[in-house]
Amino acid sequence: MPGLGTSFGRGGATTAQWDLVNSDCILIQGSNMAECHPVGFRFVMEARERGATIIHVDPRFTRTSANADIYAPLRPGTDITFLGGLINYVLSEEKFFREYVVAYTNAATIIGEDYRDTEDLDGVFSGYQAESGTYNPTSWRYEVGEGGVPLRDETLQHPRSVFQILKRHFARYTPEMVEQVCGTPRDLFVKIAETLTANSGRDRTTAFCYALGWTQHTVGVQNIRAAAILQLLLGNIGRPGGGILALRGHAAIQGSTDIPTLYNLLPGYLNIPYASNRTFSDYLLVNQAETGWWNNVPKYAVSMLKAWYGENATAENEWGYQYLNKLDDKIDYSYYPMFFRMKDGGIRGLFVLGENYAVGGPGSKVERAAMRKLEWCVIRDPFLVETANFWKMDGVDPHAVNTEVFFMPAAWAAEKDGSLTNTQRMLQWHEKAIDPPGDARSETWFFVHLGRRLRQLYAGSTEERDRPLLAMTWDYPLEGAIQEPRVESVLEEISGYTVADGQQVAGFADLKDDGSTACGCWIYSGVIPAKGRNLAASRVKDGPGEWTNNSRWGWAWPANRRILYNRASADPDGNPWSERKRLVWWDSMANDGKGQWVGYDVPDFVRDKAPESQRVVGGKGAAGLTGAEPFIMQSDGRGWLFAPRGVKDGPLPAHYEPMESPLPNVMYKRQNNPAVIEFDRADNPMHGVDNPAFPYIITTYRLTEHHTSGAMSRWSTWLSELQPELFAEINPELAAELDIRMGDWVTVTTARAEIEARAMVTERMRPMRIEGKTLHVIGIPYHWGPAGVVTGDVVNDLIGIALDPTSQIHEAKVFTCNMRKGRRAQAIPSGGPHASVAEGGAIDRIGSEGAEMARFDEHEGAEPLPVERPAEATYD
Amino acid sequence: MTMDRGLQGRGRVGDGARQMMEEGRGSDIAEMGQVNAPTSYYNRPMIKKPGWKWYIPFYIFIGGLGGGVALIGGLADLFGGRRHRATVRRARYIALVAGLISPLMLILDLGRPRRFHHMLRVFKVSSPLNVGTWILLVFGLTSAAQAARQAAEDNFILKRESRLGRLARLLPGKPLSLAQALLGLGLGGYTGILLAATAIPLLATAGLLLGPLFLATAVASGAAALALLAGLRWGRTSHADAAEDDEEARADIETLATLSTATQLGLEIAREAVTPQTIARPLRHGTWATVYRVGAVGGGMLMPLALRLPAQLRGRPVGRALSITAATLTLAGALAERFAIVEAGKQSADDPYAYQEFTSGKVGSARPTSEQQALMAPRTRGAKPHIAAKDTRIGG
Amino acid sequence: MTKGFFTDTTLCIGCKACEVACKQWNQLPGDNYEFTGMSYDNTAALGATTWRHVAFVEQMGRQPNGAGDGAANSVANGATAIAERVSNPSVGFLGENRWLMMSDVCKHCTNAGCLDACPTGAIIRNEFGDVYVQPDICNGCGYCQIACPFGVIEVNYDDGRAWKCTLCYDRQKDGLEPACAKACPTQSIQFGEVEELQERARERVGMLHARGVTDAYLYGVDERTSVGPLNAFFLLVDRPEVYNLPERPKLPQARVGMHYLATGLTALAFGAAAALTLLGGRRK
Repeated sequence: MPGLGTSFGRGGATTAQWDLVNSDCILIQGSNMAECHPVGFRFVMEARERGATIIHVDPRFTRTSANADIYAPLRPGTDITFLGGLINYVLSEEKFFREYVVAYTNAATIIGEDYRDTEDLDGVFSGYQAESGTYNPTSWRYEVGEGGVPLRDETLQHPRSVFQILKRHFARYTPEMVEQVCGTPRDLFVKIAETLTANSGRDRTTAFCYALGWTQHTVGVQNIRAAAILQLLLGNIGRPGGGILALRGHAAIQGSTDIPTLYNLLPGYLNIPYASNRTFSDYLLVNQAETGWWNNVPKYAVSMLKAWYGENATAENEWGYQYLNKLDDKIDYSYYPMFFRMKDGGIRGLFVLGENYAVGGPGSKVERAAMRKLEWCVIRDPFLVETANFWKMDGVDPHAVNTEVFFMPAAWAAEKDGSLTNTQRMLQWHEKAIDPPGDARSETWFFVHLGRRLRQLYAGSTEERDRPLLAMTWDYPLEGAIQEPRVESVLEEISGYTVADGQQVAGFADLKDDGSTACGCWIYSGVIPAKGRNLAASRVKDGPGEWTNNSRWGWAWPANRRILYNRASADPDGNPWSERKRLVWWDSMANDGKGQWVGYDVPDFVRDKAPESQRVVGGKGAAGLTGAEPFIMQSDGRGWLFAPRGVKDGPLPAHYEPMESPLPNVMYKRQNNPAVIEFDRADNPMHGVDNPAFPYIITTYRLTEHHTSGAMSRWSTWLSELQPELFAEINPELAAELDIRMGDWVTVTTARAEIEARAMVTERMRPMRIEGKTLHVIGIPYHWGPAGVVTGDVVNDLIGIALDPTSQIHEAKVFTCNMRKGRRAQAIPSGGPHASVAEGGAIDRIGSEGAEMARFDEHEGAEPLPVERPAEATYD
Repeated sequence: MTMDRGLQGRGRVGDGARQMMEEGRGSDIAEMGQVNAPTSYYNRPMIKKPGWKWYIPFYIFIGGLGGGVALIGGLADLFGGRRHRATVRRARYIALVAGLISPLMLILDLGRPRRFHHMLRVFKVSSPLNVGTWILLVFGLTSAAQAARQAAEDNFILKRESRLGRLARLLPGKPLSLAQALLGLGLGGYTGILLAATAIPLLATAGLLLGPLFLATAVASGAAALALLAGLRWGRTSHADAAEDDEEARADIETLATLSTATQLGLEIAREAVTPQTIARPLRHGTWATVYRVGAVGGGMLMPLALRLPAQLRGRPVGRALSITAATLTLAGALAERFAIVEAGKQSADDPYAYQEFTSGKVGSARPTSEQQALMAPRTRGAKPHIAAKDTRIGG
Repeated sequence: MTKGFFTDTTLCIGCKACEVACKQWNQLPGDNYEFTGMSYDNTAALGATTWRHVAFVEQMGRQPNGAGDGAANSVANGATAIAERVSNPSVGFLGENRWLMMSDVCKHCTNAGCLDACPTGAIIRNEFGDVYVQPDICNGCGYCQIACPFGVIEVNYDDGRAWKCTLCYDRQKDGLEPACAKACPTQSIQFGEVEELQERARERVGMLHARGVTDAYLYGVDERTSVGPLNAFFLLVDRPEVYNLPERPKLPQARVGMHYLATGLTALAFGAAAALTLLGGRRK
């Protein structure tokens, strides 16, 4: 999550869900928490019961809004204006937490002379290169004095101080502007602003919760940046009941960025080397920071290489650095470019694991078409999901598809040991409950044995290119009849050990860059501090009355800290800001008189570094920071209101319209994000501004009853009956215009695709009146596809692809469409995945023939389903 | 939550919905929340309706008939003297037939017919169905005994002098007749209680009237059956009974028929009077209302009275043709009444507004306008039909 | 010691976890895949294969606190305490725009119509004070179905027996709470001893009133109806019928004695009349 990473230093939620009960106010925006994180929402409910005010800002009135104290409607894609308006309110009304802001943020830092703001250049920041559509961030740098120390003006008066730049930048984000752009009533907005500020400061804290409603925009990262700026100004970061909670979309998405399934990252947010980083020292040159925690990169990188290549990683061979794959500097390996390249025949083979992007991926038509260009494709899933049916979807003749498809039956969580890293960076271990059926196997089993077989194939090869495969350590112990790898041993390697005696290390503090330690992922270091002590499996709850950070439940990275940057919960002198919000403080008596940081959470600071300790001039790493700089990951130890680097579309958020919008940008001359990544292709037509053919705004989302593409939920009879059909939520006014009644079939069209759905005519959707224009927002969940117990059209086919420049995330939360009454023209092609449901009878748990029914009962507990779509099923 | 009675009866569930939906007003229930206007959960039924098949109304008819016949037959044996011998004979045979068909109907309607005997695990006064089952059981036994005795006497199937025949004739005739009479009353009456003691507004509001009404119908149909057979001169054994005896017997029975039919009519008028309009709907509009009014009331009560009374008031015997017609009409009417009431009951159970009025205890309280209903109706298609699915747990 | 449910609709987030947990534990089939158009409620009603049902009622743009009789029988315990801690009393949930959600279930009435009506004795009151249908006894006569004032119990005509919530009798026997209560993430469904729950509920109503939710009241507690107190009772914020509940439920058998009497007297009259007629005919 670059938004949080750039602002605070770590790309993870700054707090834990259960800490929300300590909030005095919770702003939920860009998230439908009650529906998409119902279990975590219990803590919001408890906060409400304790007297906190819950605010929900969303285009739709959802189950979250129903439980909020204040609900404010908002036009999709205008979050920056809304948050900018709040920032402006806080600054102009002098409602910010001055001591906090001066001491802990870069508000006082002075920016270089070359910097120009969107105010000066009407919509772009300095360093914009029109031809490439990218920014060169050099002009955003701090102004530094001797010793490279950034210059500061603690009076915040310097015209080039971040504070003054901020004031100028957000001056135009007035309540009137918010009303005009977001369609949020002015007084409602002001009420929210008042509530937020009234509940922030020394004695009170406000928490923010967001999810994909903020990320899935061409300005996604800047949405989160805006929230970070606001929370820093209000002094809510690193304090109980404060923070920004990034609600992740899956059980282990956080884990899949920590130990990434990303194209550009190595475990622990180390970058994957580019081909241009010829040597390990080249790599360190660009990746090691002078000051702040990232100065430790060598320790973490070397330890990782030792874990991967064991004795084959030596000082002589740069710890096996050359074994690593390098990225071609000129190629974008991210998701969409990959699929477009695949569609153009640039990729031969593909592994698909735990993915169902034939339904779940925006512009999913492109994905399906691309897969049909592959030579081979391996798909692992418990069910025969749509992605495994790409070769017979879209009415294509399977004979015309030359892709060889291997479907590997996969085991579910309950059928294997392992850990999940949840939304609050917490690892939780889960034990296997039952054996996987038939040939179904865990991912670990699949990869360990694939690796073993490959290594056998290449055994004895002297080819240099085969070295990486043969050099790696691949000796995980195998257990039982099916030779299941012992997953705990993988986590042990991830947690780290000393090479000499193979003893587990206590944490990343023990890691060395001399090859004496091995550690698969430094941020996870310490999850197994000693053999047999798997802290992820710990299950000790805090008792009633105790501080509710449940530090003995599971294990959270880094170093089991539950609230990050918690040094900021104490003032510069190390005393709590207030009794009520006490969390971590400096106890000068502790540590036999030498003093140390103590409190209810693991201090996110050098334990014995006194508040008054000064910066060691020219000091490396932590030594380069004072005892009053809590954001230890940052090179200047401060929260970044202004981001001199790390975000590709500007140091500050600015409002740009979504790529498809009925309205022009009234804020700046620029309509869209100047640095947006576009794909000008025939198979990716975009609607542009105020396109009369596509007059309505549409937003996509999830429901409680289903999970993402429905790959799991649409195969469960119990979940399927709760939301059986794809529907589109329409306000009564639009319904009247189009003569649509509740339950009618409607057809939604974009330049990309046409789908049909049931009409859900509801007052929860309200038409928006903006500048005399009536805007209709259509809401549509994206859980359905042509396979499963209940089926429906693929909503993601509607979406055009344009990406956020920093995170390469698409814009699924807002685009435009047209709608008409009635069903779509072409019927679902016969021989489509429907058949697969029919053929398989009930639920296809491929590879578990015979076991199939039995295990279906185990999983779903219901009778076999009738073939075809069971509208009126009588179970015979 | 009272509202002006002016709204009552206007529009039916769904109508307004359709019209409203055409205006695209969707399922908005905005104003429902504020004013104390009658509301409902998308016009969904608030209670379950009976899942009974045709067996049950038919059973109520045949059981009632049997009960009525047994009553008259039994008392005829005790008080009627020799000229009612044919009546008694007919009664005993009919009672047997009714006593055999009735349980069959009941068992066929059970979800688990093989478990019919579970009804006899307990004796529960709170459950009219349980009490009725016991009555039916004993009634079956006494009917069998009486029929056997009669057969033996008549030398019909059962040989008079056969061992079994002798045994049968040893049965205590009079006590059995008394029992038959009492059981007959019970059998005729309990079905009304069974229906009245439910949550169904139409039947529950009839309350104390339903048992008596059903009993009257039972006696009427019993009398009609006997009168009919007498009219047809069926079941007379020439050597014993003189024709003129039987004619006089028919006169007695027709007096009873007129008496019970009059009671029936009176109770029906009373029921109509006590039932609020919202709740009475199913017996005032629609198919079953027609069946009820034309069939049960018109054909089954008014007509027979019209046919018999002129003669009876003048103390003359009713003409044979008239008598046969009247009896047939009464029987048809009884059948119509049973079906109409059960089916109307189903409709009543499906009407949330009837149930609201019934439970709010405020007469004329909750019948919204079609507009108001439309605002609550989910869609013209109506709410989803309930589909009972096979339970996956226990086999049998 | 009677065990039961307190379902607090002001804490319900409509996640339907109770429905799924119930069907999973009790192994009930998923059996209807039609979009009803009743807001987010595609379950529609309780029945033989649905023992928990979450109702959804959309009430947008109403006058705050305008609805409901709010016949709140409340004691304002600790209410003021809460009020003080409310960070901004001027705003409040369940105000102008409401989306009511309510998880309905068998009420396990103190005087249960189904139990009284059952002719086989299959329906019993178990040791936890709950109404339980013994599947090995029920013969599917269907009489309980029309004797339930809440339309809960129903015969499954494929299976031939009547089914309804057992209050997880089997789990209770093992000292576990019912599956729905266990699964509820927000404590909208609370399980425990009824008296205790009632106390908690009254207190809760008081707190809600103090927080401006003046419509809040208890359904199935402290009201005199012939079904008696409900062992599964509810905290509602609008009139009962909005949630498809009867305003004043009636026990069908409440006057069954009178019924017997009235019918008996009629029977007597008929008997006498018949006897007299026949005697009269003889004397002639």
